[in-house]
Amino acid sequence: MAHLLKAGLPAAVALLALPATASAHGVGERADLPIPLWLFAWAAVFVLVASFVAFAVLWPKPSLANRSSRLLGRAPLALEVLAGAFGVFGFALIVYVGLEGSQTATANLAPTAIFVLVWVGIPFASVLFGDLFAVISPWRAIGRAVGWAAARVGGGLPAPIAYPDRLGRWPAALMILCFAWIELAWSGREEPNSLAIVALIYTAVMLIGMSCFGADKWCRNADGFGVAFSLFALLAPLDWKERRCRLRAPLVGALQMPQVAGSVAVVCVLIGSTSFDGFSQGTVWNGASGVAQQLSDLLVALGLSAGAAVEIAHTLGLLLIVAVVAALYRLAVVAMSRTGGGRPPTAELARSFAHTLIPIALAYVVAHYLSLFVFQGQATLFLISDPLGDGSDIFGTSQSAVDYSVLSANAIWYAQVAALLVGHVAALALAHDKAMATWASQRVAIRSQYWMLLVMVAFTCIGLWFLSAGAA
Amino acid sequence: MSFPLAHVAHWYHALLYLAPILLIGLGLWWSSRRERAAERAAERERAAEQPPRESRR
Repeated sequence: MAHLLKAGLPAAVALLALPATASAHGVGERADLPIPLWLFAWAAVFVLVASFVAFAVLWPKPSLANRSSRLLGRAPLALEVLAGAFGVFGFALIVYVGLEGSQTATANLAPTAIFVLVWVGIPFASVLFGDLFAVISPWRAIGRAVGWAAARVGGGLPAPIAYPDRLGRWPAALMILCFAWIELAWSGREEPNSLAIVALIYTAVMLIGMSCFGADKWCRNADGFGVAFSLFALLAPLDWKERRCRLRAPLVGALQMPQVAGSVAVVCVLIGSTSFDGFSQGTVWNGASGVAQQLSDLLVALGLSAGAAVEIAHTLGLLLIVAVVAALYRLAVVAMSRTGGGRPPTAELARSFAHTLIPIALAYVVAHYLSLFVFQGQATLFLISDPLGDGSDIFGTSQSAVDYSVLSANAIWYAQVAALLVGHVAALALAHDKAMATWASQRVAIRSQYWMLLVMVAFTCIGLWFLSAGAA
Repeated sequence: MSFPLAHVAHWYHALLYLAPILLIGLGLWWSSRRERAAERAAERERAAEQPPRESRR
């Protein structure tokens, strides 16, 4: 220990004495934080390793599956119908204002409603109150309403085609990837008109899918929004099933993640797309001589237009980061399987441990979108009064403004670090419990988790690097 | 084209974030290697302690 201290102390002092990163590229350190940003990553790694050791010592048997839940009450059917009607109305409003309103993104309600209220707001609400989107989903509401009306009028709809097991949640993974591409790479993302048309195309896909395979089956597997939000809702303390609300212990819900084809892809796309959002705001990607610029220049030299080159560069970046996330998880699973002597096989392990990635996906959403939600979410107040951007003042709030003093830059940074840390410790806890249930030998189970720990450390450090580069 | 070292202040911070991954990876690799070696040594000891089988006549 004394040797380690002797060797480590001068190295630590030397690291602290290093100059701050060059501010010419916009990657400066925050002057008012007590320690450099990178030291947060080291502290986070220390907490992860300490948590791993604590789980190994204090958590000798799987225990999450045995936790019981408590019935709190039952919601009336009318509430579900009202929620569905609200979802359909909200969707119709977004499409209408997108098509008919001002084509300035900041003056039209549609972009804020899609990218902030739905994509960020619903995950936040889901993790607190359960799977709200299952009842407000406009597509599911339409599908159920059509089924109900058909049963009343003409003896019901024809029996749906059996949904192929092999397809699983791959369609949802593809939908989420397409949405991430629209958000992060597509040049038309700031045109309300284009967003509304995309929403209508998505609705057409949903309606065709539901008519072929049935509303519930299709929405559970192919609706990217529904699948993503239902995963976040698994971490909620409230568990809704058939309008019954139960209170459950933390993390227990994650065990209910369906182990179907494509379930790993869904979480990898969620984590990868959010990571790319953070990475694309940093100077390594977005700087004057960053990777995006160099890639775009190369594509322009090959004959592409400047706009297409930027879109393709961002598409490649998005796909690369998703592939890196999937590869890291795959490596951990292969190493786990080898530690267990090849049993269970890799494919089975990959699916059975996929739920451990849910807290990480949520942590990335909180870390990357908290400030967007807090600041741009306030814009809803004046946009709802003037949704078309034509100067109307329906609720008398069109003159309100965004208050940027609600959260300081430091408070956002601390919240981001805390979210990443809690998410990864929760993921380690889920993986540890699953390992204890998978392998009979406690020693093998703990050793298998070495590789999961390494992946968690990698996700945490890379996540904090992306955040620091984008926010500093 | 400039030598990357000239821009060290622009990218060294990335190494500070990636270093813990390498450290933990090396630590875990070394630890699992040591555990496997200890297991093999224990197996050898057990085998040595067992009495030799009688040879067939």
